[in-house]
Amino acid sequence: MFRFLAKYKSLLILAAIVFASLVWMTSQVRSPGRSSLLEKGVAAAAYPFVRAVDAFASTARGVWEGYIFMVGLARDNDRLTSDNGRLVLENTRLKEELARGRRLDALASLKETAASPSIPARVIGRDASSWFSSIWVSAGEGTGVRKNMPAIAPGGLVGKVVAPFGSSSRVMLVTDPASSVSCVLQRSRDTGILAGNGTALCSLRYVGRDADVKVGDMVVTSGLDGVFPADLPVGRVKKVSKESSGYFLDVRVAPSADLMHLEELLVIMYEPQARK
Amino acid sequence: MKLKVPSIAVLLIAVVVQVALANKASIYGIKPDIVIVALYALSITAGTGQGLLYGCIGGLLLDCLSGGMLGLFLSGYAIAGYIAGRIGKRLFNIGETANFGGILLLSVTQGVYTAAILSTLMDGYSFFGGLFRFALPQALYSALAGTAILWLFKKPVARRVPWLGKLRPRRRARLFR
Repeated sequence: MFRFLAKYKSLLILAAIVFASLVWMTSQVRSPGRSSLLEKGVAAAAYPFVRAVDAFASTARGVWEGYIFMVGLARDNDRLTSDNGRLVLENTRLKEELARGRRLDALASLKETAASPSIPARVIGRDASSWFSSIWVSAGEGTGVRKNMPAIAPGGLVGKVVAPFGSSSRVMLVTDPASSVSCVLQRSRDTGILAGNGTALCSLRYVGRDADVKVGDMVVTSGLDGVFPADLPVGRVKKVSKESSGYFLDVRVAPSADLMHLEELLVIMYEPQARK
Repeated sequence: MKLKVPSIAVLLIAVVVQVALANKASIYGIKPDIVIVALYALSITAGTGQGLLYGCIGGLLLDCLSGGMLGLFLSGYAIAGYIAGRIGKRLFNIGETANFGGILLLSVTQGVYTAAILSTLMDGYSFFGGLFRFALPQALYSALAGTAILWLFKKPVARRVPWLGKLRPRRRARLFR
């Protein structure tokens, strides 16, 4: 017996780990949305490193795009001097500053138009896996971010806060497979649930077969889910198809916010009446 | 099962790089899995016990820094670490082809497991959708990127362990048991 256990020790431990994980995951499905102490601890420990790597990568990219590439050209071109290189570097930095300023301007004007007060945040990391769509932002409980607060960018809705930590938070994007947002088509006022599937396009579910939906229609939040305020732009209808059977249309929506290249966003301090 | 500090440090660095930088190398939303590359590199010479342990640590960290359920990557990477430890015993010559095949195998295994769990626990999630949309493209990308990364690190490692290259394959394999 002991020889058997010793021989297959690793395999038995693996089986125990898989079984324990399955039980753990099932318990999370039954009562979702808790950010555990473990998650908070790991996020707090990893935050400075991720932030440092992100800052280093941004600087390195700026230098690479604006300077090293230029230096490569300078070797072929005798007229470029070290002064030019310095100026190119400075110019690149200023261009980056200008682009950043423009993005912040757009964010500031969005902040002015938002009905509820909001908290600006910078995207410092992306989901560690390709299976889920979430981002890590530089605003947390310390700055007033709470769970389920909506996040927006100049284009429209980004997602909602699912795990606020001390000085950072995780935001689930609308494209995440676990995301669902109650929406309405702005033109026809038909309602549906916007669900992510991990790709760039979301599905607008439960839109009746007789609904008036056209490609290009604007989709906005309905406010019925009690998480997102009404009338936030979400995206535009990209594809509509009617299957031979079934009660609903297959509607695909492209989010209006550029979720792939998101750098800054606003977390809206929105608390609907039902939650107060 | 003894924990080695440098190995844990490699795993931690891989996790931080995965969160902060992997997205910058993403193609159509598919990013290379740096953690599975690190796990392969550490476990292939460490055996099943340590491979399992490295998989658990890497997976748990990923679970905490990802939007999924806690335990999903812990168990998936534990399986991958165990398999890496097992195939390490059978490999006599760890070259680029073996690295590519090894990382591909680990990534596909972990991807199939993740797709199976998600399709079981999440409403409306398709197993084959997850498999063809994420698991297989990511496995291929990780295998290509991982082989390149390990090739870059091959020479410095060989220089630091000069006796390793001189050993006969069977003796070398016995060492890693």
